[in-house]
Amino acid sequence: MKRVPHVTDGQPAYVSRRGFVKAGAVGVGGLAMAGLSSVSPGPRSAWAQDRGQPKRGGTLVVRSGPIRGIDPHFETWGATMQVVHQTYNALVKFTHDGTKIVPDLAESWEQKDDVTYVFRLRQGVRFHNVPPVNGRELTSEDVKYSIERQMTAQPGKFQHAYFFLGKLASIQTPDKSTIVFKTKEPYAPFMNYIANPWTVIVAREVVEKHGDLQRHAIGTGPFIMQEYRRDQEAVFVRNPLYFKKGLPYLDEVRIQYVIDPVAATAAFRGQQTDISYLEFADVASIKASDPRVHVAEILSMFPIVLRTRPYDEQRPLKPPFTEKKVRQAIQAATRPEEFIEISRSGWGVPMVGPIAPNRKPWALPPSDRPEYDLKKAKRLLAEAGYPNGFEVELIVGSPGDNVKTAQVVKDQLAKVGIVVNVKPMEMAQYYNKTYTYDYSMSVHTMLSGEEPEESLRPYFGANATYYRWGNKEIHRLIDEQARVLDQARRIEMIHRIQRLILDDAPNVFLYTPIAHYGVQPWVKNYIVPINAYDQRYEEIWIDGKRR
Amino acid sequence: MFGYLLRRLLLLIPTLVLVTLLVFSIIRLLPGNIVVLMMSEQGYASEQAKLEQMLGLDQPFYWQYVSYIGKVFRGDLGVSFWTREPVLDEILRRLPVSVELALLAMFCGLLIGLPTGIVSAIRQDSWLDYVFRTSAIGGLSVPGFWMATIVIVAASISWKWVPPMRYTPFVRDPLANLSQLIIPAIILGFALSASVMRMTRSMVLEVLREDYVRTAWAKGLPESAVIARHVLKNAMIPVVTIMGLQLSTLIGGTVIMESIFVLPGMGKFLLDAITWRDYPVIQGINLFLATGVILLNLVIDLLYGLLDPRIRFG
Repeated sequence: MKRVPHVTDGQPAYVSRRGFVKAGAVGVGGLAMAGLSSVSPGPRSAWAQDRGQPKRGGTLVVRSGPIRGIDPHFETWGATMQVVHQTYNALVKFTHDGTKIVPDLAESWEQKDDVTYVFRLRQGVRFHNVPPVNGRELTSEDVKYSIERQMTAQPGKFQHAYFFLGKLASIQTPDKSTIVFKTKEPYAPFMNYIANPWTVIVAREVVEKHGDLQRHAIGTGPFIMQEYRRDQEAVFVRNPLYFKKGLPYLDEVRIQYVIDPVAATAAFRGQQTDISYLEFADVASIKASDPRVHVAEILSMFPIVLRTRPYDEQRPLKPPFTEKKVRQAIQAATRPEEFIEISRSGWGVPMVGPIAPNRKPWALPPSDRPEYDLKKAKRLLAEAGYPNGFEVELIVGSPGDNVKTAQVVKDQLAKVGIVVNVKPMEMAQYYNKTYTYDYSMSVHTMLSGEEPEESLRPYFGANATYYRWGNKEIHRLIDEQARVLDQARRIEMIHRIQRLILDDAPNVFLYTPIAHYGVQPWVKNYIVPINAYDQRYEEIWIDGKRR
Repeated sequence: MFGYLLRRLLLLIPTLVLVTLLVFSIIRLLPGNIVVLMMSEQGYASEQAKLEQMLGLDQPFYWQYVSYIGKVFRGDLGVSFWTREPVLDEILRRLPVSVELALLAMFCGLLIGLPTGIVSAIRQDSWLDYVFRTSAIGGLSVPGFWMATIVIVAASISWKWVPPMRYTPFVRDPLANLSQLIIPAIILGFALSASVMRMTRSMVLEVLREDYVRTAWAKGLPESAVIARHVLKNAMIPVVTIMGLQLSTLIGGTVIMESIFVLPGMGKFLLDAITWRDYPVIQGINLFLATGVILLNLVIDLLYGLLDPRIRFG
């Protein structure tokens, strides 16, 4: 198993003088997660196999889940990235273990001043040799076009606009291989968003020819998409013009959309797929049925939280959640280890604050974790005027693991007299309640990516969309930290924000699940990335016989 | 006959208008607004009104409906709210899979249900009759999704084998296509065979007691001739009715099988559309299903005439 050191000091050779890349590198340094014991937040690396000598040729079949479209800039579902990362590249990217930012299409970059970033493209990078690009060279104009496309604020164009929308003053292309980004003010998350798996470079002609990129993927990536049948399969063949010499090793990649988890496990067992996400309940039987099969275990980037009623200026808080002591009592009455044992059969790691524990140095240390203390919880409830507890409704999306988590919430809070009525809801209805901020309590999933702001701003920031919490001091600090380029100061601020959130207790941060990936023995050099959206297969090779 | 056919086809129009109106209204009455759902995926604040306008949901209900019906008559079922792909293309891509699975299941159901029903009737109260009747009760009570799960899990654990999960259209490679579809078809067919078997048995028993059958026996006709020529043909009308009803249920109800056996049919597509409140897709599929059911009933009504010459279409 590859153990990755934390990057806490020093800068990679390509880092600029102002250390913005260092910020990115340190920011994700602590993601490294090695070792697999559950309920223990020890450092872990991204999961990697033993290597060996690379071999050319062969077909890799990867199981995928539900997919909507394959446009990298406007889609949000994980399955999209399995197509995107075979066909496109980014300017820079995170390493699989998330420890640092490394070149992809850009060969170097530097920060000229607080607001200016200059990237230089590699020479001779070509798009796929298919119409309408026909193998033409990549230029800085493609980068400009792609970033501007990603920040489109049109309704119905999803998710990623917030990376750069309203943040950039200009994107200049002084020559065909140089791109200069100017931010409106110092913007600390800039490099993490440029390296984000969704920030890939596309060609204008392809968008103009097809109207969008929902069914067509033509880029500079290691594979050329030969066939795409939504919900069935996507087939890719080796790109002979790929700019990384010798890569990819595989001749063909097939993404097989197997939505039903039972069928997916059976397909993996029956060796119809080479790599497959597995349900934790199937892990033991998979391991028992074939000892040669690898089961990779990696901390998911989607922690589970218990939310109390959201509020903002339009929607004031309602009793009993107006009382901070009530929220703190709920926090003190919940015990993450029990959630992990019951909801996930032990496959998880307790959370401390909003940022997952493996996202060091941004995550709070375990010493900050709110204490599990039933006496304290009862005392707080009594002080808030609820000595006998109260009755509350908890909504949860069904079906899903969160229903089990909600049942544990009910059991735990019953110990302090809070009667929780769990109300499982069909997903569309649940999302409507959630995103109109109309509920008393809910169990929900968060995102914990390389950029720490992603665990804070969309939930607790001034214009948060996923949750609303009207604490103005927290809003101010979230806005302020984004302007702080000094790494040490930013870490201190992110910690402070999290401590404020813990004290205000709008949410109880429960646990981060451990995810499992089955890998057949003939698949070599597959590294399960710490970021579930990172799905690059260019360095995988096949060695050994299928059954 | 022609007049009857024409009348039935014309009746199709008001029925479909009624069906579309019902579907159109019901999905809009469901809690869970598509606009909020779409907004929820945006990591930035955006104007809800603009999105409503883009999707055409800012118009009054009646206007949305009239405009939809107008488009339907021009052969345009709209585009999916989420994928922006034309609904008609998506349905036409998936319909053959569901229809093929349903027909195969029907074939398997008949293959099992008809002979066992006949044997059960002519060997009434024998051990064979008991075995077939017990199996039929089993087929009715064991849910298809359970059987499918057991088949796929057991085979993968015991023999490391699963049916092919890569869908191949019949026209491209019939053998590969059938090797993927045959197991779900047998499982669906098994459940269907139960009702076919029970209906065939009781109808054959009834017909066996008719005077004309006694006459046939008295003439000294062999058993096969009595059963095939005199009993079966007269017992078939209710069985055909059952099959017609089951086929329409099958086309709409293959969701689980399509999901477990990775078949790109309409069932899973409809379920996802309902989950994500993709109105044009839900409307389009229901329009197709309703048309299919109505046409199927028409075919069955016409079949009655072939089975029983006494039935006239006037």
